[in-house]
Amino acid sequence: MKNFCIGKKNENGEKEKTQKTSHYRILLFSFLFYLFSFSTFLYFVLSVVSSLLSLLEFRTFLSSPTMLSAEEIRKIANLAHLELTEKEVEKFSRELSDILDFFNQLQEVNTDNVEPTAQVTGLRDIMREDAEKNCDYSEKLLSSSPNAIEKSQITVKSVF
Amino acid sequence: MSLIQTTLAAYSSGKFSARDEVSRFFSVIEEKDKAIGAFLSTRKEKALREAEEIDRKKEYGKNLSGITGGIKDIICTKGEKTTAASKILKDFIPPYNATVIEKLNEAGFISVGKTNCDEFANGSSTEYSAFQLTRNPQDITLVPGGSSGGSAAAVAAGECVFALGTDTGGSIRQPANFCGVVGLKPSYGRVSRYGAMSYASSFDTIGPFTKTVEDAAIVLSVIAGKDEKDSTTVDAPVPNYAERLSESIKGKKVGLVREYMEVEGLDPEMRKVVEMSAERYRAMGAEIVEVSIPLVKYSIATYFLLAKAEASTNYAKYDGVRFGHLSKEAKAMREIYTKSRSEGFGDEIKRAIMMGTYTLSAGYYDAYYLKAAKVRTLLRKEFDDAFEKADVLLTPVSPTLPFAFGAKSDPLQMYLADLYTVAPSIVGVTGISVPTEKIGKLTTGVQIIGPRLGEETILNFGWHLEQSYSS
Repeated sequence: MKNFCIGKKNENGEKEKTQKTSHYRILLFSFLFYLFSFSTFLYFVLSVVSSLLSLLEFRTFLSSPTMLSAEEIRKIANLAHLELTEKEVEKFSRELSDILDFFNQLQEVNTDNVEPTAQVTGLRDIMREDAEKNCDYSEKLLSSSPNAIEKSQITVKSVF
Repeated sequence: MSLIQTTLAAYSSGKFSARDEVSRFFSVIEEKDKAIGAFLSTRKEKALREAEEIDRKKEYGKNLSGITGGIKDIICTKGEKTTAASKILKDFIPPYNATVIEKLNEAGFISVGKTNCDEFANGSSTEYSAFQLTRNPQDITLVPGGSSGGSAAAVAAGECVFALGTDTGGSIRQPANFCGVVGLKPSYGRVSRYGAMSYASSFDTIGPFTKTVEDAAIVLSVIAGKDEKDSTTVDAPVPNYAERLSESIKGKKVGLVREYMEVEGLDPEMRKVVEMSAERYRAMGAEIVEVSIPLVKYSIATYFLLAKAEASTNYAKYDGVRFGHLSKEAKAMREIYTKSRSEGFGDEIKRAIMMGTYTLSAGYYDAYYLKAAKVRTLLRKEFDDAFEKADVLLTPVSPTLPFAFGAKSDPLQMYLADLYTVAPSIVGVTGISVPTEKIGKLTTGVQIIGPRLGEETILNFGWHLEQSYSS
């Protein structure tokens, strides 16, 4: 006990001081405890909020394709050189959203550190001799074109 | 009993001529095909001339001398219309033969015509053909399956001895099952794809429809092998696949895939069909083991994501410039593309192009295409592990019996019908559809899946199962 006392004048004084010291200690401990619990609480609250946020983000990611808008459908069609009627836009918006939503189940699979597979044969760098070969159906290939042929070339409409 | 061997023997012994036989098949086509609709075009005159030539030379010694075959209309035949059942190629006449056609020609086969299919092989019922419906010869109110529905129906209706189809995610195995015939999907790279119009280049395979397992083996022996025109063909020796069909399977392991058998949508009758085959294998001395491939749950999403992405890039070449349909409305260059494509392609092809364009586009590529390509790696690993435990896998071909026309008007529902056939395609292994049981008046069967280049093994297992039903 003595070792913890600050100043020792007499018995009473000592006692008094000891009492005072214990008050300080209790105060200090409660303060520390409060600090500790508050920070734990804060940490807890923050982590809950952040996980909720990330869940929300994940959910937005998961559900966003279900809302492929008419505008997005038109944009994709434009990239793919397709012209869609209004009816088709509406239909594809619904159907493609459903399909993409179905594709989203793949997000459940853990693919960390997995290399993608593009082909299954394991073959690499297949070469052939760089030699001239007779290709006797060039003219026939050209004649498959629905466009007019001029000097072994396909003529098309103007670009603009 | 091999139909091909019986026919060849009959030619050699003079029982009947190739001309008699070819003309008999055309009378079947004339009688039945109005109702079935298996063929988009036939070539009676040419076929009869070819048969006469074989008879004249008495050239009966080749593997397929004077044997009639139907060709899926997505496989190029020189000088003969090949449409992929699409309006965009309505009048397309290829200036060259696909490698498989060259090989069949060398073996002496006679083509009776080109068979109907889903447009560019996208579909599971042949309802997506731009030209006509094909009806299931087992019950004409039902679909024949797809995409090679015409090929399956032609063989089932007895309109030709064999037919070629293509299988990207089940397009041979599923229609074979629906029509009650044998259908074999070779491993990716076993048969040259040169001259077959692409759907998904890293999945596409070409294989036979036949009445018997032995016939499938004979046709596969003719069409398999490395081809310098298809750099993805493997340089592995091509055995005579018909040689070791009867080898014993005693002590070999047949795997039942737990996740496949537990699927909720699996018709209990179809499950029973698989269990009955397993029972027969057990009786033959094979061991039945349970294997687990958890990722098959994700196989439909993985397959359609990757396949439609590849498809969208393949269909970029149909642009109204070099071949195919050219829009009359097109006034400037860009309109040649957009109007020709929009007029020429059917709904499922437009969906494929749209979906692929989206999943491959910047910003979505990682979340979709790349993710699926990674799942593909994991699924391959799981299949490799399964083949450590079993020689073959025994599974349903389809979760249900053939369905009615219009039953799957929602595209996603159509995709789900391919549950049992897409995973082997994703990992590039081989599978065969073998008819076994009758449910009502419909013959249905099972799928036997083998490892990469395991065609001999699955033919061996298929032959034994077939024998057990014929005796």
